Amino acid sequence: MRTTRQGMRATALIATAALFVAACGSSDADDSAADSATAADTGADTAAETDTAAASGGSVYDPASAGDVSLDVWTAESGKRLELVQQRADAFGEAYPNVTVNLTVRDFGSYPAQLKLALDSDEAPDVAIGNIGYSLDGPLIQAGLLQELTPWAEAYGWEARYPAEVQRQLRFTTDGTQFGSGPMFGVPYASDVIGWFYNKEKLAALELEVPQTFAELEAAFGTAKEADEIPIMFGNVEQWPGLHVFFTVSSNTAGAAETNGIVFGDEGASWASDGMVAAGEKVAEWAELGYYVDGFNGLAPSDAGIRFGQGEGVFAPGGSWGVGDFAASMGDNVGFFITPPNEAGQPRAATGSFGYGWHMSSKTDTPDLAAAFIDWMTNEDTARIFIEEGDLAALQVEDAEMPAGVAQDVQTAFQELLASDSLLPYLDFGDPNGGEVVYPTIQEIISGDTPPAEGLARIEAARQEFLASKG
Amino acid sequence: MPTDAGGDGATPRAVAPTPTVYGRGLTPYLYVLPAFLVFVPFVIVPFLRAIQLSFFEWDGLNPREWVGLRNYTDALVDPLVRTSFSNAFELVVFIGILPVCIGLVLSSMSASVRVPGDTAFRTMIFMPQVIAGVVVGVTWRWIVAPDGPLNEALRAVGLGRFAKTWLGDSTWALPTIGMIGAWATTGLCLALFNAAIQQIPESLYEAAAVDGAGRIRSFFAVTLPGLRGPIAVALTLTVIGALRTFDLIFITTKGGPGTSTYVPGMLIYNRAFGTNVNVGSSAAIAILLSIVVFAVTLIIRRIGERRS
Repeated sequence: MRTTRQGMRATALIATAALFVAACGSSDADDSAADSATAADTGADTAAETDTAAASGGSVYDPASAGDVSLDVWTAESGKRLELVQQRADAFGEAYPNVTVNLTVRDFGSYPAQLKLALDSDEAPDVAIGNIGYSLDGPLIQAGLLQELTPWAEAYGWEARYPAEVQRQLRFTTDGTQFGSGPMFGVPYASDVIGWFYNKEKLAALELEVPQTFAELEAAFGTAKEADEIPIMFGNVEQWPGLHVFFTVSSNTAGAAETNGIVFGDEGASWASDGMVAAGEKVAEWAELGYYVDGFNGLAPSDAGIRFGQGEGVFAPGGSWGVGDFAASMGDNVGFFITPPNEAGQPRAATGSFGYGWHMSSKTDTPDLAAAFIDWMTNEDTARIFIEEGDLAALQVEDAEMPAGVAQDVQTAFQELLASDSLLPYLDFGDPNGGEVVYPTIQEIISGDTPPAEGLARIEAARQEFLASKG
Repeated sequence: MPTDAGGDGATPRAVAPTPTVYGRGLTPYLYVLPAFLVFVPFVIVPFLRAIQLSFFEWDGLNPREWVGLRNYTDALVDPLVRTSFSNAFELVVFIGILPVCIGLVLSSMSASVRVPGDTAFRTMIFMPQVIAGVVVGVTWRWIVAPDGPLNEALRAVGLGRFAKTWLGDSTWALPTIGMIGAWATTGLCLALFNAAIQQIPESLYEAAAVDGAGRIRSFFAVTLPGLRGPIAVALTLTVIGALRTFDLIFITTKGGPGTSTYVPGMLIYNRAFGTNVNVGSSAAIAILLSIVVFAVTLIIRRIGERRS
């Protein structure tokens, strides 16, 4: 899940790196001027925020009063996102010259192992990104290495910022064993969402509109198939993309309560429920009807992305992280929507996440400063910059200028999900069995090798075993 | 101590053994000392540590809990572990045995028939051996892709019905990976056999020819026995390589479709560094794999020794 998504991002890196080099080369002077302008603005904003918080009874710490200190910050971001994080961290240092922010960047693949060692050492970073769920955040909290953020969440109003259900991705019980309840341990800054990219010219040639109901979406697949187009371009050789296709259906058939329940271990929720089985049957049916590209199980996700970018296929299921690549290869010819509801006008639901979240080390000497930094890295100014750069922020920002094209489609869809609190967590956050049970089984279900009910029962059994092992 | 009473030269011979024993005792150890100094901290200690960890349940961070043999008993009943090992054994046929057979045929052919440019030919066959496994995986993933060069070539010559989703078909994925592994390993076998085949005295072939042996007969009567040692070496290397296959699978199929190409290496990696971290279970599977590797190596050595 996280790793593989990052993997896909990594393949996009070459393209991004090229853009990055171009950007660096062109307008260094302009950039830094813009930076300092932003810093000045946001400095003023923060001051205003401080007043408000103080007035409302909370006490917000002023980083300027910290004296000469340094703040060690760890991240595993790369590419464009790393640029944005760096830019905001620099701005913090400029707004509070007494604070030196040392940003340490580690590669995503080995980040969990490195972060565990770093946080456990005597030279622990003060602030670091984690990874949602049991893979990283859970063990770190269990080991007492992360600080619960309740006092600062109150002071800065973090809980009010994010929709209640989605916020559960940042919660853990203080013993680190129960995901989705307990205090906040992280504050998000970026997001992702899974939906459908579509080829605008092809859709128009088929005389179709963007589907407004699930039935229309399926009808569109059928129309495309009849016209000898590839209805769904998707490569599943790495197994995890199949689960993302499953998400596009299960977010509708199983719904929010079931999905949240599975991930956060709520009583009664199950992979083997009717809604989930219906999703399994649907994704298998699509394979039988020949809606997926021929040989999808042997096709690499990156190759599928390239083929879609070259104009093969009408629809491509995928995450918002694909926006940059598709915008580069297809320009205005690509759009994005999230799976439409069963009846037009109903609120939509889709799978996505709050990224990684900023966490505070329990060993930091300057928790108030760390919290101020976390607030800075996640506040509305940061969100606005993310949105303006075509990325997804974790916050709704009313007046942000979105870039045109597919990035705007994604942003609009995502803001809608935040407004209706129907961004559903990745089902594979619920236990650590992704690579060994969930992905292989979903692949078997899609291929018709395993009946959906049987496969989903197997996945549920593995989840139950994990829940039981936590005691 | 005997003294040099007679001066007949016997006494120096009698005292000589003492320094010789010391010399023989220490000098060899000094020679192996540098290797030993590297071997102990980087191989022996981690191996012992893995054995130790295999008796604990540990997420790599929180206090570990002694569970005795539970990681082993869990592994033995885990269907995924069993699938992984049986897949690994199937890979032994492709990556362990097949390259040795191909290497034998090619090396005996190139020894008996001299063609211009055969050095270039041998270099080309050896090339995959020097390419990183990841590069091999990425390249072949492209070649065997649904619309990749392999399927295109089959369609171009009218064999389109044999075109397949090579890595996406649970019947064909493992053999496909096996063939990729064989491609990468054959060069090693060929190089070993080519070197050894030149050590076989020409007179043996002449004698065989005089006795009326044809090319095939002299291959079995002269070449094969002459290559016993190198065959055992090659088999040891290739079989170990096959059993511990990881990079090729990690790059191509991640164990799929379903679990049809899952191998122990994937499990060891995933449980030590991946998402399902249980260091003890990972270590236990690694120890089981080591035991299998030791056993197989021992059998190959026995066979090699008995023959010679």
